[in-house]
Amino acid sequence: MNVEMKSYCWDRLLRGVVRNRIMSDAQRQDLADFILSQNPSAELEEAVGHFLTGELTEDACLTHYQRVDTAAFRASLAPPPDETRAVDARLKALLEMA
Amino acid sequence: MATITFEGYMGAGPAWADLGANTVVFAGSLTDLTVPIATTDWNDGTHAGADDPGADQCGANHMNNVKYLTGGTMSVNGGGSEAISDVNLAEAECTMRIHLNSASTVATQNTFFYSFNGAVVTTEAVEIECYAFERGVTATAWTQINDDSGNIGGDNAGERLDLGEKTTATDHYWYLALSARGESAGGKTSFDFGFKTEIF
Repeated sequence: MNVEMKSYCWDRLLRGVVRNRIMSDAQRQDLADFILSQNPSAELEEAVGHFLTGELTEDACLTHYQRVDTAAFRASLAPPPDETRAVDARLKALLEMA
Repeated sequence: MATITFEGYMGAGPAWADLGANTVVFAGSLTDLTVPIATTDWNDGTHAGADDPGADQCGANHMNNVKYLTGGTMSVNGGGSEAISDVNLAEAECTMRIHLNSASTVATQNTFFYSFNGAVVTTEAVEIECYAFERGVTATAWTQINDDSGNIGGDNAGERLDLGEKTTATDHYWYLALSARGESAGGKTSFDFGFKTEIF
């Protein structure tokens, strides 16, 4: 998963942080690929197609993506926990067989 | 600070009790941990032994024994065949539970239970076939976590039990049924269990 794109989408749509960036063609393609990788559907493919040709703005494209499947969208963009800690334990076992 | 304990439902009461440094012993009797399992059969008794096996530490009531019969059936403490499920296997009938306690509230991710050879966590237990089942996640079949002859076992993807994740709390419990048999005669000591998770 494109971590940078994930973070960007999270901030922009779920936290309301607007960065007003000017997108290069590469960035536009990156976002399009990300959206389709998360939720490939005919409806979104059409929207992304319009986004890539400039007929649809980034906000409109992202909003469309969010509207199609909000639950999946939130799940896909949920940031990783701020801090995780691995813990483990072991237990001795024995099997007695005749 | 987080602590993990393996607990058996045993002793006076019975009640869930920390297995501590004891060994979980799969044997051929519900009441005597020194009775070996008949060749190629599955465990008919599960006990807490002080060593290999050492003195029985279960107390008045022995640990529950859940025996593998088929991929979807079990025998609980010598009873008849039942489908393995949350309905048929009560929490207090499970072989053990794993208790994670944390001073502060935590959630979990990437939680696994596995068997290994006691030395290298990614290496299967030696000459052991073992199945595990987690109660509480609507499972209806055993999961094979060790098969030495088939090179299955250890802390490896697809060869361990992927446990249910927990939401934020200070105490978490995973209830497990475990069943094992040897692939050859004799005692099997290159056989340990491992549990791991990530808390956040």
